[in-house]
Order: sequence, then C-alpha cells, then structure tokens
Amino acid sequence: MFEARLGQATILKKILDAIKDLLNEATFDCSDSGIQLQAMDNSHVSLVSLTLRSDGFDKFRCDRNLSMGMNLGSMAKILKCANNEDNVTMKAQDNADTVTIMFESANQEKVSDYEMKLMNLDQEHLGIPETDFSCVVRMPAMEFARICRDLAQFSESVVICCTKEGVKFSASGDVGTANIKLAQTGSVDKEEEAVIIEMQEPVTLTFACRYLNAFTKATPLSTQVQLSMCADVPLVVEYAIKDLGHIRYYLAPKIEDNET
Amino acid sequence: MIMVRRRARPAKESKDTHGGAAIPEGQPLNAAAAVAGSLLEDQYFASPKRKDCRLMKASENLNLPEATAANRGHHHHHNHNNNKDSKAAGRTIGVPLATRSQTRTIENFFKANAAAAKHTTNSVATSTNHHQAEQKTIDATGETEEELKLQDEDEEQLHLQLADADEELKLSDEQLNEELQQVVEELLFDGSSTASSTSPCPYQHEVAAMQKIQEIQDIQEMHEIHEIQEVLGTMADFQTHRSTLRDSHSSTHSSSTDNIFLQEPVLTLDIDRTPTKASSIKINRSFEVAGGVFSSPPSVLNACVLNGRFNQIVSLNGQREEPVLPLPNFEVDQHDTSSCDSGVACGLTAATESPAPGAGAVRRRKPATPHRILCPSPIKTALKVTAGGGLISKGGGGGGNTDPLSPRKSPRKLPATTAAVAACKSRRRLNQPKPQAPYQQPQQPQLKKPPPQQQQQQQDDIVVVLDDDDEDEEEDEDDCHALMKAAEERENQNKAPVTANNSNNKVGIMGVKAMLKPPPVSKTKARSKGPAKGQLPPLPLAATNGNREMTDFFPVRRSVRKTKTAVKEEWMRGLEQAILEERCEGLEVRHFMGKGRGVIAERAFKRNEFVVEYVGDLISISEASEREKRYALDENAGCYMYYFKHKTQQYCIDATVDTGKLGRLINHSRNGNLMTKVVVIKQRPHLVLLAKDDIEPGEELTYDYGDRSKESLLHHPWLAF
Repeated sequence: MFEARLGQATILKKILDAIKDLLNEATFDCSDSGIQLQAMDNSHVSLVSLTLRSDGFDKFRCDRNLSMGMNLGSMAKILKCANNEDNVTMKAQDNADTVTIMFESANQEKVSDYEMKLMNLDQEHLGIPETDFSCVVRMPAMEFARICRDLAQFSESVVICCTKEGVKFSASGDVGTANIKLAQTGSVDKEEEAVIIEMQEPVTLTFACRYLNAFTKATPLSTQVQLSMCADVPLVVEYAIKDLGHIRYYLAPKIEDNET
Repeated sequence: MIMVRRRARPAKESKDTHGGAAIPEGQPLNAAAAVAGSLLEDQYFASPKRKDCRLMKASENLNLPEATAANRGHHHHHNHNNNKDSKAAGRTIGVPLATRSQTRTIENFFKANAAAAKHTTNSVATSTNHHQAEQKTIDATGETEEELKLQDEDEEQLHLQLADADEELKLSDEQLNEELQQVVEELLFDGSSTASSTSPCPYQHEVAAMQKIQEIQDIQEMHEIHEIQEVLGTMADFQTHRSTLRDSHSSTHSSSTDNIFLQEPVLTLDIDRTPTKASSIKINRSFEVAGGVFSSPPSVLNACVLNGRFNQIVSLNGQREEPVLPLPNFEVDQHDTSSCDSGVACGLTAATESPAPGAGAVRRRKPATPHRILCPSPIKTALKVTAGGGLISKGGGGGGNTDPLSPRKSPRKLPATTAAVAACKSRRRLNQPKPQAPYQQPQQPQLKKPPPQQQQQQQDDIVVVLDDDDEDEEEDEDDCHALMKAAEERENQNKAPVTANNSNNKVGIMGVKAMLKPPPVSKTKARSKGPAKGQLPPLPLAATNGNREMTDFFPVRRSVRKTKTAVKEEWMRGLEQAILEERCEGLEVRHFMGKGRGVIAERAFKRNEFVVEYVGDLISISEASEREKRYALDENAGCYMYYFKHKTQQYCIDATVDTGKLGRLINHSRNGNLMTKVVVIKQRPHLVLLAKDDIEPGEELTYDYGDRSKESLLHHPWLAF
C-alpha cells in the first residue's frame, strides 16, 4: 500500500511541468524514505533527478518499495484537473497496475479521483557519483531562466565561464555575440536575489541552450537555482522544492572545439 | 510533356486507324496553330479537332486510299500537336489558330450543314462539327474521292439521320438543359470551387448526351460511313463558301436541323477525338464558338473557365441525359446515371447493331462518377461498341467501376480540404475545365446535331476525367488500357489518346501527389515534434550536435536481477564446474575425539554453495550388495556406501577405498549443515554436498547419512545423533 498526500496540488503541478517537457514517461520509485525519480531524456544528454522526501508530505505511507511507471503527459493531464489549493493524494496498491490520484477541495465538499494506468518502463538507472564541484553558483531562478531564454536566441549553445569575480554566460551565432555577466552580490539583503559563487578553480563549459531552457521550466518551484560545475563533468542545475526535496537536472557538456 | 505525349499518341492512333481523316484535320489544325488569336483560336481549335475527329471517322468509314490516310495521319499529328499546344499554352493563352484551316473547315461544315439542311432539317445543329471535320478531310484528301464516298454515305446517312433525328431531338432537349446547367456551373466555377458541386450535374448530362451521341455516331459510322463520305463530298462543294459559312456556321449549327449530318461525322470525330484529348479540348472550344458562345470570342475565356467546370458538368450531363433519353434501355441505365447514353446507344443499337450496348455500358460508367466514369467509359464504350458484345460486357464492368466513382468524388472533395488537395484540384480543374467548356458550348448550340460532337467532347472530357481518375486511381486507367488493347482500330485510336492522357494524367498526378504528400508529411512532423515532445525533439538534435551523453559520465546501473531459471542454471553450471575441477577448497581434515576424522570449513560457505563432492565408485545395487557383504567381513571398514536413487534407478557410490578425497570423510549428523544433491554430468550421476545453511569458518561439516535401520544403529550407534 502506497499513499502520499500533499497539502497543495500546485506543487505537484509545478513538478510535473518541470519534467514533462524533458521526459515522456518516468518511473516514480516510492520507498519508505520518499519518492524518487531519475530519468534521462530521449537523447541521453540530460538527466532529471527528483527527490521528494517522505517527511515533506502531509501523509506518507509506503509499505513496500514500489516503482510506478507513468506517462508524464497523462499525469499532467490529470493534475490539470486539480485546483491549486486542493489536497492531492496518490494511492496505489502494492502490486497494482494503476495509481489513483485524488483531489479534495479545501472544504472537503468536492472529491475527485482519477485512476491512471501504470507502465512497466525499462529505463536505465544511472549511478551518480559524489562530486566535488569546482564552482557552485547560486542565483535567482528567474534570472537564470531569463539568461537562458535570451541567449538561446543567439546560439544553440551557451558558454558558462565561472571565475572569482563572477559568472559569465555567453553565446555567439550568426546574429552576433551575447555576453551576460553576473557578479557576486556584495551584501546579501535578500537571499532570493543573491548571486553567490563558491569557486575552487575557474571553469568554462559549454552547454546546449535547449536543455537549459527545458530546465528552467522548474523555475516556479524555487526562487533560487544552484549551478554546480566541474570540468568535464555534467552541469548540475538544482532547484530546491521547499520542505519537500529538490529537482536536479544534469546536463552533459558539449564537446568543445573552442576549448583548445 | 504530358500534352506532347497525348498528342503524339493520339496522332499515331489516328494515323493508323483513321489516317485518311487525319489529314484534313491536320491542315485546319495547322492553320489554327498559325493563327494567334487566343479566344478565336481556342474556338477554332476546338472546331478543327472536332473536324479532325470527324474527318478521321469519315475517312475510316469511307475507306480512303492509303496515301490519303497517310496524309491524314500527318495532319492528325499536326492537329494533335496544335491541339496540345493549344491545350498547354492555349488554355491560358489562346492557341494561335490556323484560321485558314479552321475557317475552311467551318465553312465546309456550314456548307455541309446547308446540304444537310437540304437533306434533313434536323441534322443542321450536329452538322457544324461534322461539317468542319468533313471539310478538313475533304481539303486534305482528294475531295473527289471523298465526294464519291460521301454520296454513298449520304444515302446511308439520310436513313441514319432519320433515326438520329429523333435521338437528336431528345439530345437537343437534354443539351439545352445541359447548356443551362453548364452556364450555371460556369458561373459557379468562376465564383468558386464550391460551384463545382453544382456543375457536376450539367456535366453529367452533357457527358451522357455525349456518350449517347457517340454511340449513335459509332453506329452510324458502322453502318453509314458511306453517308459521312457523301456528306464530306457535299462539304467539299460547300468548301468554296467555307469562309462565309464559318461565320454562319455558329448560327447554322445552333439550328438543330442539320443534326443528322453532323451526327454522322461527329461519330467518326468522336472516335478520333477520344484518342486525342488535346484535340477534344480544342473541339470543345470550337463547339462553344459554334454554339451560343460562338458569337462572343471572349467566350473562349468562359470556355476555359467552363472547361474546368466541364468535367463536373459532364458528369451532371450524364445524369441529366439519362432522364432525357426516352429509350427503355436507357432508362435502366439512367439509374446508373449513364442511362441517357445507354438509352441512346440502345436506340442506336436497335436501329443499327451491337455497339449500342457497349455504348450503354460506357454511358453507365460515365454517370457513376463523372470524372472516372467518364474517362474510362467513353474510351471503353467506343472500344466496346466497336469490339462488340464482349467489349460491351467489359464496359458494363467499367460501369460498375464507375459506380465506385462516387467515392472518388468524395476523396476529391476531401483532398480539397487540404491546401495540397486544393492544389491538386486546381490542377485537375485546369485540365478538366478546358475540355468541359467546349462540351458545354457545343452542346448548347448544336442541340441535336451537337450530340455527336458533344459525345466527342464528352470523350475528350472523359479523357480529362480519366486524368483526374488516374490521379485518384490508376487502376481504372489500366482497365481502360486493357479494354483498349482488346478493342480494334477504333480502340487503338482511343487507346492512344487515353494512354497519352494517362501519361499526362500520371505526370500530373505525380506532381499532384508530390504536392499533396509534402504538406501532410510536414503536418505530421509538426504534430509529432511540436505538441508531443515540444523541446524534446530539438534536444536530440543538440545531442547529435556534439553534445555528450549522460552515460559518458555516469555509469548505468545494471540490474543484477536474474530469473529463477537463470539463477538455477547458473548455479548448476557452477556445480558442474566444481565437480569437474574436483574442487575441495576451504576444507580441512581434523580428528575428532570419538568419531575419528572429520572435515571443518576453513572459510565461510553460503547457503546452497558447493562444498565437496562425495567421490567414489558408482556401482549398481547388485554390485553394492556384493561389496557390502565383502566389507561386512572387515570390521574396520567404515560406512562409505552411499545409496541414492536417481530417476527411478538405484545407485550406490562406494567410497570405502581411501582415495584422499574429502567427501568421504564428512561425518554424520542428523542436523548437519550440508545436504546432498545429485548432479548429472555426462550421463553419470554425481553426489554433491552443498551447504544447507551459511557455514562459518571452523564449523565441522556434517550431513545426515539417512540410515535409520535398526541394524545400522546397532552397529553404528552414532547414527542416532
């Protein structure tokens, strides 16, 4: 028996919006500790890792580990049926081939439940090693989304160069070149708007804009985004989900002809 | 290219079959080609084509000398070329008319009409086309010969004309109706494609009328070729007056009295025309001119517009014609929509011969689906009529096919929805309209006489329709081709145009398909990429663009899970391997107080892990009993006989002889930590000792000997523990 209840459906909605563009379907691995999802996009260039801790749920029960393969498009459709303030409850029997998603209005006057077929997905699971990143940049999620959107107009790829002074996003294409520099904020009045750079050594990496723009779909989940970079290692874009967990995007760097 | 092919084929066919007739036609056509006037040219061209057709038929009927035939053939080629040119460029531009030749022909027609009028008032309308054709033929070939032939033919024609006159009257009524419909349709066509829906009715009527006329003509030709020749002769006489007659022809043609003359030549013309679509188109234009349209050269433009509509109109006409035709047979056919034609054919057949049924079949085909039906049916009908009953039957089959045509219409409509479809339609319309316009115009003015012309036109229209049909269904064309093959000279003539048309159609179709295909594909792609994946599709592209994959950095966790059978198989392989290796690792022999040697584990053994094999001599039960008796004599001999049963057979492994193997040294315990298992290797059972549970290092290995007999207990009391 698996049952997980969230106070607000809007969080689940945002989570689905954050991953459904990259993934067509994914397996939710439910265990006593919470719900985890890890999947690569079709091209295997990026990887999504979602962690929802059990203590973040209003109610969480998972008697046996359960893997629920879901079509994320279908899941998103169901979640569209929920009001943002609704309570959402996911339920599944131990060996069921369906999951029930129930929405309850705040006043309990309306209860709607949707049953969705589960899929048996044969997806590769990657072992992600612990990495000491050379650079970790924390910046406002909105700012990152804006940068990615703007630079995507100039080139398919964006170069992220992180130094002590700050982080520079640059793109060059037929139209011309674009450079956006963010300096570390001196005084941190508002944590939400702070740009914080933790750097062991400078890093310059190139990534595909399309994926970065796909990652920014998670912007509504968090005010801050954390970019972790290390030479010749995938970029980690992490959005924290308050009180619940986080969603991490891994993006393999492009093979750089310019690096030499 | 298409046009050229069509022309060439028809020309050849015409040469082969109607060589004599071709020559006169070619001359007028060439003249028409020379003339540049677009509208007038179009009209003229139409007329020359008709004339050519008529001439061809007449020549065939007349059995003109080979030389004349050859000349005609050349002319036909020219005519075809001209027609093609006119079709290709002329549709839009206006074919340069060889006004001289056309005018001559027209004059001849007028003269012929006049003569016909003298002979029979009814034939006048039909005569216009016939007259032109006759005039052409006369011009090309020795007029004298033709005249001689014509005289004979004229007599026949008179008889035929009488019969035809009645038919023509009916046809004229139908034609009038059709003309009205056509006009409406033309208006509709000009306005929009939707008009086409309305237009089909008139087209059908026209087609039906055309078919009927053709049938009649065919019959007449069969029986009255001579008459046509006579008419031609008369035409030659009139030729002197051609120029004046030309102008008057339109009016004279409009008068339906000359129909008989016209009809007969029309019949011949129809055959020729069918082979060459281009020619038919031109003829149609001329018909238009001759008809009410004639008065206004601009009518050519209308004709063009109408042509597009014509196809539809043809279908409509066929339908209308059915009701119009009084013939009983026709009535039956009318249900099919081609009844009118069939009815005419029946009437003709009744008067003449078998060809009528074939015509009826053709007519039927036409009505079912205007475009498809029409194209195949006319050709088929002509062929069938000529061929006879067998052909007719085929035509009936074709008619059956035509019924399916209605579905074709729907598909056409469906494609219209898509831009590509629209493009296709536009092309089709372009092809169709040209022929249609001539049909409509000629039918109206000629009325009774026009019917033959109309039939010819209808054939042309049909051919056009075939193009459309070809696009829709090539199979029909194939059928037509088959029928054509079966048919005789007429058939061959028809085939040539048909094939040309088909080729043209195919080319057009190919183009259309290409046009059609790309849009849907793009749509599908857009759909799949756009909505479904959204960003995903581009992502893979990026990946291909030198992006590395996650798997380059993170190892894929492969599941270690194995199915039960896989695990068991693997385990069994391990056991066999161990046995073959005579493995005895991690074991140590140790002396135990009170029970002698024993074996302890030096390392940990996991459950079900191979420990050691009980090695000894595998012997049968009888052998074992003998040995046991022997061993019983020796009290020092221990218990090393291991009896077991494997696959219903009792075995024994005798390890009494100390071989240094450890298996025989393991002691007994009723709660041992080992268990035995039989493993068969190379047909030979082996006894294997496995760990019953996880075994810690230093544990003594024991297993249950399983001997509970009192005698054993008596001699070996330790078995009880």
